[in-house]
Amino acid sequence: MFWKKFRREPAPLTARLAWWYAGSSLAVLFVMTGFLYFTLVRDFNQQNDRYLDGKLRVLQTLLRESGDTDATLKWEVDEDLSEDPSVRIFSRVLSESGRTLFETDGMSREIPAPLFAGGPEIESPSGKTFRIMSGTALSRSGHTRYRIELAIDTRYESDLLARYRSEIWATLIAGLLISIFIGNRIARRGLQPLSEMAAAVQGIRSSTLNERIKLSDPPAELDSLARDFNQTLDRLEEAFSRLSRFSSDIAHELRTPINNIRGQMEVALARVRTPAEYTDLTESCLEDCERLSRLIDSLLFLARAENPETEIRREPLDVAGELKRLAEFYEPAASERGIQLETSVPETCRAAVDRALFQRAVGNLIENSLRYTPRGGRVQIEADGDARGVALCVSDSGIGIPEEHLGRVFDRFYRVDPARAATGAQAGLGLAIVQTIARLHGGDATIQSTVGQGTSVRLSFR
Amino acid sequence: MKILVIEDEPRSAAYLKKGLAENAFTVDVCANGEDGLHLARNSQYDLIVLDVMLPQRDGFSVLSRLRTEGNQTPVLMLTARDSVPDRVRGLELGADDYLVKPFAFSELLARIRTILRRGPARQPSTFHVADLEIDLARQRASRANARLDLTATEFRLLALLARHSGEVLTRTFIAEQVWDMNFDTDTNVVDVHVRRLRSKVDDPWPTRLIRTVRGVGYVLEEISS
Repeated sequence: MFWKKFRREPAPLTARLAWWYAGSSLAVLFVMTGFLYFTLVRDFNQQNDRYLDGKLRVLQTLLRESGDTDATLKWEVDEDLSEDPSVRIFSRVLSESGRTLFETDGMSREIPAPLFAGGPEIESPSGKTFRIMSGTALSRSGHTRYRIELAIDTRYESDLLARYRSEIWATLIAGLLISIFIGNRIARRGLQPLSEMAAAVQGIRSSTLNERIKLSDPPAELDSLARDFNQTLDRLEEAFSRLSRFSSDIAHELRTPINNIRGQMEVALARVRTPAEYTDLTESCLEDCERLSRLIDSLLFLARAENPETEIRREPLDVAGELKRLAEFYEPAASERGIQLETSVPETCRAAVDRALFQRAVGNLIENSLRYTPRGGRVQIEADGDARGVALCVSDSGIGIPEEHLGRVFDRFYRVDPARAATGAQAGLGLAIVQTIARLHGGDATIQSTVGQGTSVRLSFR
Repeated sequence: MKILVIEDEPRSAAYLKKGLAENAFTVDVCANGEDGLHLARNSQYDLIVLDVMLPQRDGFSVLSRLRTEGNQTPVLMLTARDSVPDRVRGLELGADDYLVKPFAFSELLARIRTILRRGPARQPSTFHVADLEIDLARQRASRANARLDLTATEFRLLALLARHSGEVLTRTFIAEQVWDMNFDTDTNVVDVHVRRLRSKVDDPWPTRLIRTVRGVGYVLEEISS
């Protein structure tokens, strides 16, 4: 099991970079040394060819000037051209018929004549390698033709090249080790900001969400990554603090009704009451229970809506008819408060929405408007639909909302006037629910308000 | 009418037993699924009130055993977990109704009566409560033989109260039944509607028939004092 785990683990970036670096520098080193080696081989061959060529010319001149009888020729054939003892040249002069006239001592033993049929490099029976060249010469009279065969011992170069090759291998191995080492260092150094960042990220806990990543000398790529990450942290911190605020708000909202129930009961139990008083107490407690269950319902609704798997049950809805029914439902409550409730919707307005949610959203908005509109005011419901969905607006001539609160009125438990907390049984969740419903439908809710003139909330359902 | 309550929470069981007994039901209570199943198999009940979360054998399991054994006793399920899959599961297994805690006791009572009323019993087309007469077929209501001048909405509201006369109806239930509003309203919308109805049905006469039950809702009944 262990090896499996081990094998699956991806190679760390440092190792990858180090290997890439080592591999590429080794490749460059290999190509370079190879090139140098072959240049050297070529130079050696050219040098040897130059020696042979020089010797050939000397022999040709001697044969032309003095024929094959001259002692100089014999001397020249025996004499080694170079002062360098490592260079040993064999020469042989043949007559036209192929008879050997002169040759360097031991040449026929070392390189028998038939071997000259081969290429520029031959191997002698004793295992030595020679570079060979042959040519012809004419006597001054032009009657006699000679053949010249030359060979140069390349043992020295071979030895040199063999040594050189082993040095190349040593260099390559050393280069490999050095480039792995350097590659590793470079990768580590280059990735230093990354490990700094990783350490910073690892240190972040839910309790230290206010920490941000600060890199000492960030490269551009990591800088933007760190910025993105910091922005994510901003959002997380915001969501987290919202959540913890939300929890304390819930606790607070639960506290009030429970405190009411408890207090009333305690006071009632302190002495014997009349049955009418007990009835009154029970009823009052029931009202608080009602408030608690409604709060729990709203919270559950919001919590469930946050689950991305939540699906809404869309059905084709006659929006005009639905709004008319809502208006009818709320009309007596409105007229009792001296508020005029009007609807203006095209008869043909239809949309595919979740009916219960639609009712709830519009109902919440109407209730809000009724609550904050003084006697003699007016609440208007307008809607219009097209192929993409329906846009809806509930506006009132109410007290309005100061601008500084507008950004937060859709937040849960947010109340413009905290003192009103006790009166609204929606516990400041009404608008949050409205917005959630619109968003579940792929739309949104926006609010506009002027203090003293009224508020209008626009909803879109897609 | 005999009802079996399978509920492990002792306080819930106690108030259910008390409340149902006071409404003229004979009630057996048991606190776990295994005993509940045993009782349901061996005695004849008109209805079973079944909690979902039970020790030993949960409510779904009790219900599915009963139904696979061919026991068709109506079952009303109670749960604290109000998720749609749960509800669907309960109904698919053959529950007759499903109620989420916390619920109003009057709501439970209304639903039990609705389930028991199902079947062969036919809805009468006229209702009488004291001197109030409601004729559903002709959409007419009268009190002490004097015709009441009601709007269509007011008539629907009165008819609902009459159909459930003696039962306390919650505001949510009323809004749902009369206006088809499927959400909780927290303003006094329903109260205003009821007040309007009262001004026509009750105000001109010495005895009031529509009574407010504080913290719960409304009931239409003849008060025998």
